[in-house]
Amino acid sequence: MTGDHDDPDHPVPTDDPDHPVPTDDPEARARALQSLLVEKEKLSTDAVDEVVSLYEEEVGPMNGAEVVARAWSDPDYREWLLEDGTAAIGDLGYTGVQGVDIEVKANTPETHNVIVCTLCSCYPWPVLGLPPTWYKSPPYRSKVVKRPRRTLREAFDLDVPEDTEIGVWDSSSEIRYMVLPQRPDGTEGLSETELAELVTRDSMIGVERLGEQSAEELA
Amino acid sequence: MTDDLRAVIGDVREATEPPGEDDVAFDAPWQARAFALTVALRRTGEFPWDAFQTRLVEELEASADTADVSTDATGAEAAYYEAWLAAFERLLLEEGVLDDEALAERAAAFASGERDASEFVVGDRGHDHDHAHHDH
Repeated sequence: MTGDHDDPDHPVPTDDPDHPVPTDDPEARARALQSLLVEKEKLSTDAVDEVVSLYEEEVGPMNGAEVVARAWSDPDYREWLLEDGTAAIGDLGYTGVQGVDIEVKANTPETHNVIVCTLCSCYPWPVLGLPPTWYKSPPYRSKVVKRPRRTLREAFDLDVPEDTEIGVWDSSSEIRYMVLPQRPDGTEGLSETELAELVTRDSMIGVERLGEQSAEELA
Repeated sequence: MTDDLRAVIGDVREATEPPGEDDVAFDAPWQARAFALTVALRRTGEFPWDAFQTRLVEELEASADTADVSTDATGAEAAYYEAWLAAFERLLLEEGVLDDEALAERAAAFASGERDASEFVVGDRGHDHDHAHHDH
């Protein structure tokens, strides 16, 4: 089966029109699903386009950075965020799939946190957007659980001090995790907007650590 | 699986996240479509997220058994969304939302060029709401 034959009036025939040959072409398969779901009025094409533009343009680590900057600036918000992440994040306007909670794990000098989804690719979409390729890769998913310290050092050039414990948080269909990095030294006078600019995606996944760096190093 | 973590994780990072370039959410249009269909249908309450996720886990396991995990970055993204697409297809077929033959027939029509993506654009033009710019 080919998608580029020349004569649109004579599509490539299948041997038996009642039993078409299944196609491997993922674009054709995805289009077929959309076409049938729209036809059955299960979905509108607008609803599909809206999800694409939401994830391409509006949802991303800048949302999480805003949450982190608020938590650094407002102790009450921080406490709320660590107690009920879903509600505190929702308060800033970021909500996800219903029935999926976000739990936030705070880094301290004694504890470093890192998130993973060993089974597939669960990720806190509302605050971080879609996961990077490496997060979804089988090696990351298996290695960071078994050998977190070594994985962080060898794959991410992150040396977690020997006396700092590492907590690995394995996401599930009900709970997704996000890391609250430590506020860097020398950032006392900064506004929330300025603080948010220091927060990276990787620091909220936990493969980068902000606490040991000063504001100058991050800028 | 090799134990060289820099090679298996670090190289994927470098290949997919060139310094100075913005993150791209999707590698190919079909990947965006597969993702968006699933999320949009979930929003309508058609199925619980679990029902999809269980199947995604199964498909990823199945593909990990056959695929070479150290494929290049584009291959890794494609393999991931192949599993996603297969999981979503299975969900719709197994829950009786779509029919096996109808789906195969429609996919063949798109593959052959008998149908094309213009059918998704036409519906959009019929609406009278303002597409210009929404504030969020």
